[in-house]
Amino acid sequence: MEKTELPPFLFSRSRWDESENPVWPLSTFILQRNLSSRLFPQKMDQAELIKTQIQVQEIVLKHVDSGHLLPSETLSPLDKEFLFEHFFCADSFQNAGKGQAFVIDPTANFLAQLNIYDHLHLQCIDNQGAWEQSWQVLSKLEGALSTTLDFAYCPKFGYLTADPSRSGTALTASAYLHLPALNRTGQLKEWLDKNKEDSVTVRGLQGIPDDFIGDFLVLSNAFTLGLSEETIFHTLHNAASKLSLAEKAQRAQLKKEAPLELKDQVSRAYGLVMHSYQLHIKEALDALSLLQLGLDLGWITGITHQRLTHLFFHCRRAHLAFAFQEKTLDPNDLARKRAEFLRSHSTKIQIAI
Amino acid sequence: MGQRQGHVWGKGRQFSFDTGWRSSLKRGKRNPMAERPVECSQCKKAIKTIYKEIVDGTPLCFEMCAACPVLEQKLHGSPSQMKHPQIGLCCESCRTPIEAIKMGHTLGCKECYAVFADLLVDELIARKKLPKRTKKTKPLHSGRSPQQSQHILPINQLSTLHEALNDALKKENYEQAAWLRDQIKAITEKAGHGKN
Repeated sequence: MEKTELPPFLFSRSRWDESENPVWPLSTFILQRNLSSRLFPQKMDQAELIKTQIQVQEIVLKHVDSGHLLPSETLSPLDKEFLFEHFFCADSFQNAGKGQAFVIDPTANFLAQLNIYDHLHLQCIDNQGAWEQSWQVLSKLEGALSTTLDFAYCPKFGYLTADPSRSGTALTASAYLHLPALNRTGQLKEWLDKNKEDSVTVRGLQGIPDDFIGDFLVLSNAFTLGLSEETIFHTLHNAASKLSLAEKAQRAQLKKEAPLELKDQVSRAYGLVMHSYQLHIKEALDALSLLQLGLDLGWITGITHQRLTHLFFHCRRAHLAFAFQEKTLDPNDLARKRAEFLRSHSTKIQIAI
Repeated sequence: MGQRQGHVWGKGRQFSFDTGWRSSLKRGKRNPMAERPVECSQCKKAIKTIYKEIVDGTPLCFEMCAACPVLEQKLHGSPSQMKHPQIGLCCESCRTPIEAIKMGHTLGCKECYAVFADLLVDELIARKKLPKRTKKTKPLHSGRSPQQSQHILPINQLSTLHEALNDALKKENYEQAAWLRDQIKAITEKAGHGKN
């Protein structure tokens, strides 16, 4: 495998492993900012990009404790995909090159994107359900940066972003919810239809609406302009809490009823994880999701929620390629490696149906 | 090279339209395998029109939105020939043209917000990127400004639980209501212990 520029702490720390809430394991927050005095990145030539990168990275590194700079041109496509997966980014930065960069910190919880879509994206992951604290960290950093960097702002449109639909607060919050009980019993879509909220968007893990791979659903704020930060947080948190409660209530119901169809699905998922020699990502995530549900219903033993969540996120392409020191991302090779990875990490799982 | 050849579509035109595209999409006839909301091939808006033309003997088919500037250009010629009062308008600072804004492209600089202010608001409303109540009455931006406090009010988990409890009671789902009461009790007791 080629040498990676990613620091070792990124591989040893996985924030989602530490989450104690298997239904709502993590949330992400992104703040977008642009410098007032410069053109937005898409309009810059390379010399300007480099100049801006140097100016912004210097200030960001000054304010981020032990910040680690990753210039884009030093990263391989696999490195970029690993970053993309690790930080649950919504937009790809595979084409990023000279004049663009990333800053991460040793908590493996913070990512700054420099000159990718805007001059600066500040992003952090929360796995403790502590939104206020995460927001404080992010806004404190933004406040500190704004003492030196003059961010583009106007009273009418708020903070100015390259994509006008992200202007205003320029804040995107996302809640990642694992809802196998609702999804597998066909109640999720019904629930979403009944509780439709204009200011909240719903998508699957891969960004596709209605395709909830691994029974994961991502709720994000639909508007950044026209709503205050508080309203964005409260509306989204409220929607995610309600869904989370509905999932827990549905699990309690399933525990009581123990439907045969679901037992069958969990048993098949167990067989797939324990005995497959080739697993594609959708199969793997769906099977692990059912094992999570089985564990909660008392049908699966010998593994913890944290461990299953770890397997869930570590069997994605780039994480898997790094785990096996693979140079390429050939889908068939990875499918074999994924099955091997899951078999070797799930030897103690037992079925108790 | 690149010259359009004549081709008969319907009544002797070189191109044809199908404005029933959106309704047939809804029925799932055209693109049953579509995974994403279908977007205009030129910009990022919903498709309303199919535009077909023959270029160098090759039939081409574009799926476009109703007000696509590229479609307008194909029908009425170059932008300068189009009858639109704002044609030719562009940001002096970054040279982003008005057509790019109409097509949903990104902006080039902060000045674009001043130059295209009204158009941007219209586009955001059309793309449903503005909450309904802010369309006319309220100011657009209601978030904090650079000098304002960064604090937000604490998120109240209990109010969500009480709301869900009321919902469950309204629906006479007593099992869920009992479960929600337990959750509220647990949080309240935990908060009480915290204070002690």
